[in-house]
Amino acid sequence: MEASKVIIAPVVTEKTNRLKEVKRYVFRVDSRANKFQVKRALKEMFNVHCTECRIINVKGKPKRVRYKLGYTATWKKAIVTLPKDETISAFEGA
Amino acid sequence: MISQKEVNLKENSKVFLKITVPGTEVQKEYDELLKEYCEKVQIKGFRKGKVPAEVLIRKYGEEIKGETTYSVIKKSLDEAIQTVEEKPLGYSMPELIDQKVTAEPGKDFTYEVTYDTYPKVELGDYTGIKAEKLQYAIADEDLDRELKAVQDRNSVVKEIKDAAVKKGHIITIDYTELDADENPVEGTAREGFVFEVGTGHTLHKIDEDVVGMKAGEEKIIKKTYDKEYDYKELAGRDIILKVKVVVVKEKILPALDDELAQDVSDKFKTLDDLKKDITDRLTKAAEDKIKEQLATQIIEQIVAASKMDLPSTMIDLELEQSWRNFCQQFNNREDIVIKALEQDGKTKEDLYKDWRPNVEKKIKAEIVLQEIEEKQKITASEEEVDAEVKKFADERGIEFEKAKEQYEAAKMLDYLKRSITREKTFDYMIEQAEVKKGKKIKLLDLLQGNY
Repeated sequence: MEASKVIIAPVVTEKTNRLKEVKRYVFRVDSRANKFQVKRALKEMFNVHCTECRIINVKGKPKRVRYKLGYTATWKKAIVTLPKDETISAFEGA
Repeated sequence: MISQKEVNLKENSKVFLKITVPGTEVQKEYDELLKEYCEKVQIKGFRKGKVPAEVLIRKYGEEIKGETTYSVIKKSLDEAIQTVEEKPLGYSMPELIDQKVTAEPGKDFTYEVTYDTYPKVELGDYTGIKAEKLQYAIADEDLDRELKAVQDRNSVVKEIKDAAVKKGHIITIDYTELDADENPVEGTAREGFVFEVGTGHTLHKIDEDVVGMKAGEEKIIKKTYDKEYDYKELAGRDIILKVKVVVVKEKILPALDDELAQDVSDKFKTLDDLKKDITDRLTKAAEDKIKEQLATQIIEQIVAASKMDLPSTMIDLELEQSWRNFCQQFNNREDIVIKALEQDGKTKEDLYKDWRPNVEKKIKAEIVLQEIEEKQKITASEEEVDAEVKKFADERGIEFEKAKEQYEAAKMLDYLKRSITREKTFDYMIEQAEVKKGKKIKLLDLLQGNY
């Protein structure tokens, strides 16, 4: 899988902003990707060497538009830890 | 907040103002804006007021910079203009020369604006100007003409039967145009057309032809119009007209006597009173006109001797004003006016070009007058304004207080004050000028402005 296809977007929220202080960066990644692929993709894109990669499958939430029921999409979230001397400068507002 | 400014006065009273704002000031402005937005903005993923500045800059950095530029320019310009000697005219907004400048926080910011300022006037010598005062005399013929107009206004129109039409009669006619076979042309028939014979106020100029006809009589008139005829549709054509006189009326003028004078106004007892009033009126009108003409002469010379650079916005504004006045004559329908101009092969711009010299002259005269007023400290005092209001009150037969209230309600007092000031300026200028006796002209020519 190509790197640009694995990493979909950074997740920019109050929580992820706080996580940056402990060198953790959060991305939305392709649901088919695994931890190794995410690490490799980040190395290719930003030249950083993740020490850890944790993955969470975010389940879609049930939503209702009047009487129609549905779900928001399920997606995969990756939280990576970087060594102390590395940062991702392009970690930007979506 | 300005560290440096540079003023350049160029031609046409255009001012170039270069302002430098120190980087610290720009930074301060930027930080303030950023703080304000951090509290206000709502971004997905963050609660309101919890957005870190960093995220905000990433997302809206350019916009905030733009706004900083705007507010820095606004603040520093306000400050600069207060201290600068060449103030912009009220209707001339300072304009950025380079529209794309942006202030970088922390860096010195320099920009340049341009605007029009009140022209510096080098007033020419306004004493001892040579002018010619026109001479006039109220002749008997002038008096006669006025009396005749009074008679005319008080005339009675009476129908006369079996009389031939003469000049001065008022007649009612029906007419149609005929074609070569003497059949009426459709759409040309007109009934009940009234006019005074001999005045020429008819489309077909048939005054001469109807003389001698009687009421109820029909006549066929053949007319040829040359190519220069005023009315385009008839110019260069042969027309056959069938005219029927319906009614003949005569204007009966009242006799010139004391009774007529009393009819005109209760103030007059005898004809002599009326005559005296007319003479007074004519004298006043003539004196006013002469004064105006003198003042115009003098102003023209002062303007010619003075030097000033009119800013283009001033002229444009005046032109626009003239255009609006012009449109007003056509019920404010600008599109109609433009269409009418197009038919004459003209555009608004052509018109402006035609007006320009006059407008410039007008503005220059105004500026010169203002300058003289300022130099000589000519103003209208309260008493003078009151006197004028009192005159108005006496004329209308109302109380002074009431008249003043009326003026105040209509916000006319300022206007009155200005016009008195202007009048005094004229007096002053004429006093200072060397006035010689000019040529003698007829009263009528004077009043109509033919000199």
